[in-house]
Amino acid sequence: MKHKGIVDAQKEYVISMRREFHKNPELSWNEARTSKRIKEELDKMGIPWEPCAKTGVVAIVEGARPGAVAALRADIDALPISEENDVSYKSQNDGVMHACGHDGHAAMLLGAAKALSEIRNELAGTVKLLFQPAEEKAGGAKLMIEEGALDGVDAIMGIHLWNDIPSGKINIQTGPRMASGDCVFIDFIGKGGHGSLPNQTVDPIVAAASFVMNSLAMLSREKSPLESVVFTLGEFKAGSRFNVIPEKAHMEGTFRCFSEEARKRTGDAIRRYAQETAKTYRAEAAVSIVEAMPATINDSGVVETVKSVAEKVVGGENLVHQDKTTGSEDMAYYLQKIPGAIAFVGSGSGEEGFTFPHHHPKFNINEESLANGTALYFGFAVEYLRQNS
Amino acid sequence: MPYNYRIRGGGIMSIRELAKEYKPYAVKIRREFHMHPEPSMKEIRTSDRIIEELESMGIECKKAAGTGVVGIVEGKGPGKTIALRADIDALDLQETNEVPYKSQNPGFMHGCGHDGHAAGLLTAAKILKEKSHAFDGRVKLLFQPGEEVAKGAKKLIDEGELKDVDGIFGMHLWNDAPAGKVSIEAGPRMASAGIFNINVTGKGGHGSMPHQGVDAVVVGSAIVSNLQSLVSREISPLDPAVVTIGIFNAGTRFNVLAGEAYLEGTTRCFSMEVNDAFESQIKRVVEKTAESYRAEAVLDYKELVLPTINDPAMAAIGEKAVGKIAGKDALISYEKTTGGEDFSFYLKEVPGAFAFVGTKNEEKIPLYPHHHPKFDIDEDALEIAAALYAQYALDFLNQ
Repeated sequence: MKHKGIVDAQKEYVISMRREFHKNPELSWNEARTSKRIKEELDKMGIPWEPCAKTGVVAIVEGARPGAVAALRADIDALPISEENDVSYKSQNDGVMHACGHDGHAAMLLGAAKALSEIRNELAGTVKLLFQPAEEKAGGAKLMIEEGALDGVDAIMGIHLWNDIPSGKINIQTGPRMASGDCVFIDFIGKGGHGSLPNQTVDPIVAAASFVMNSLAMLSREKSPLESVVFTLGEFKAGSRFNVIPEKAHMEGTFRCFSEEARKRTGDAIRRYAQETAKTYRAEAAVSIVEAMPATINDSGVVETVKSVAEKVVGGENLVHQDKTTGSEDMAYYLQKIPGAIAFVGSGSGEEGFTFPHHHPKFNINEESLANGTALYFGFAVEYLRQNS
Repeated sequence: MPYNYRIRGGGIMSIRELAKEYKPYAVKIRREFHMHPEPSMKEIRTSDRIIEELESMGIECKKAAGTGVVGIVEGKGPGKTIALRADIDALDLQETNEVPYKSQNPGFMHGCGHDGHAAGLLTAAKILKEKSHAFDGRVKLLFQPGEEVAKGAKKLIDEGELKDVDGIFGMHLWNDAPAGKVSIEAGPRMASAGIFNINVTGKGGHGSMPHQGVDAVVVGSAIVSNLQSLVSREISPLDPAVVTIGIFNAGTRFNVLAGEAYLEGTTRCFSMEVNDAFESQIKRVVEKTAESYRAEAVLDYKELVLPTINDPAMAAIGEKAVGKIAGKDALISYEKTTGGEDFSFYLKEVPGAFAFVGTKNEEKIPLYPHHHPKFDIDEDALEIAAALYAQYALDFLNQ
């Protein structure tokens, strides 16, 4: 790989930045310190930046000649989790923890920025660095886009450090990678009354329970068995007393799909099951679907570019297959707008004890993975501009 | 002829006449109880006052079942024992009636008519004491605490108060029937009430990965749905039965798979057979449904009250008694109700009957249902209540 030396030289810097971010985690939309430190580091590198989406940062590495625009995205927020790791860089912010690897994302993108700034004279085109807040709250990417972060951008790549994949390996695949995640709120409205006189009431609990059972047929009967859809009702709350039939039953849930078409169809089906089941029981259903995250769908062209870089970084034999997951990622919003891809960079290693899943209080990453991620960010930008400028 | 015979117009005063004479007493004491309502099993002032009243009538009495009172009116010779029961507790309800006898105890109210039951039985005690020459055996007066929480009757039975009793009679002042009318039919009159809760244990997880967990919302819903077949398919269409789930609580967040669900409900029925079967039927549906979804569910079932079923012979005595004190037209037929009564526990021990004594009179008192903050009764019914208690005792003992 060209410039291997320049990228390798960032290794210690990236690890130290990652540990600094890990020690000082901040919740979604509150990444004030993180944001400030990113700006300071960019200033040291001589890279111009603009604040974006409150606590986000957009930096520009301008090549010597005009050309295409590639964006690199790193999310920077932490989670409301109390860290249980005993490490020198343990969270100093009680109840908040970088338990998903975003500390690594931010550090790797700073490392890549440093390397890119050193070779900018060789570049034709522009690299936009997106340090994005509030991925965990699914709003960061949206606001970044609204504030123009994607303006003029031709392609985007993001990375997620991934503990299910051993360090040293990378997953980059075309098509749906993560699911959409939308919220459903349903009130079944019946008619309350005494539990001993059900005939004078319309029991919303029976209607709601029936809806839960009926709606499952949507998954077993209505969609192709080859297609993946998730529907979960996480909350079912109704009633105040054993012998009183309540006025309504409240439910909240989520559904996950891998295409916009499935997303619309599933939302429509949920509405239909709720309303028609309610009517069957002489009740009413008030259904509200709050669209949250779209599915994360990698563009095949961008994937080819990322793949070619990844082969150079870890070797073709270390590109691994990984099934798409039903989790969601707000990288999806960028991919809805422009061609792009998210790569999963392996950060796990059973032998070394990095076995705890993402969002676990003992989550930690194998820091060896940071060099791979840094090289992938850097390499993609260079390669994309080379191919498209 | 003992000295305390009272004669009017050349004859011995009948129970009907005595009840009329003592009506002001009944109203006065009912209003006193109404002003001083007390919660179930804490009827301290009420029971103290009942004792004072009985003692002033010369009736032997004692506290029982905590804040209950048992009094004995001995007849002229040995014979059977009839128990007359009045419940005396109030409700945790804020009265909104503007009447001179409005509750003086904020947050508590006689919103079910038990003030009238206690007053009716005290008045009957006065009548029976005066008529003690007219019967053999004895009348046991049961002023029962804690009906609303279904504890009082059980406690009186546990204390052995029914051991020497041959029959029992009780009543409920009833706002759904006109004042002046009484229903005392054979067979089921009020429903059983069971209370149960179900704890479903599945396995929590992320809402996006349902296959890694066991969804307690689905299991709970399946239980609710499957329980519907008990009433519709297992219990005879001729046996009225109710299974209601009043509470369904599961989950913490829209995208977290609920690991547990909590359900609470009630049952009602009118026959001992249906009542006895409920627990095992619900248990089977609950446990097997949960198992079929790889979950576990535990049922906790308690009988609050049994069905109130009138013994035909005992009901017949009552119907005749109503004719004597209020005329034949006073008897009405009234459909059994799904409300419950802990009088049912007595009926399991001894033959008995339970009457509904009408208190509705919209010309005098705005009509509100029992347990309503504006509930009130036509006090004319107190005269009938007192007379019916006394006449029933006399007729039972003289039969």
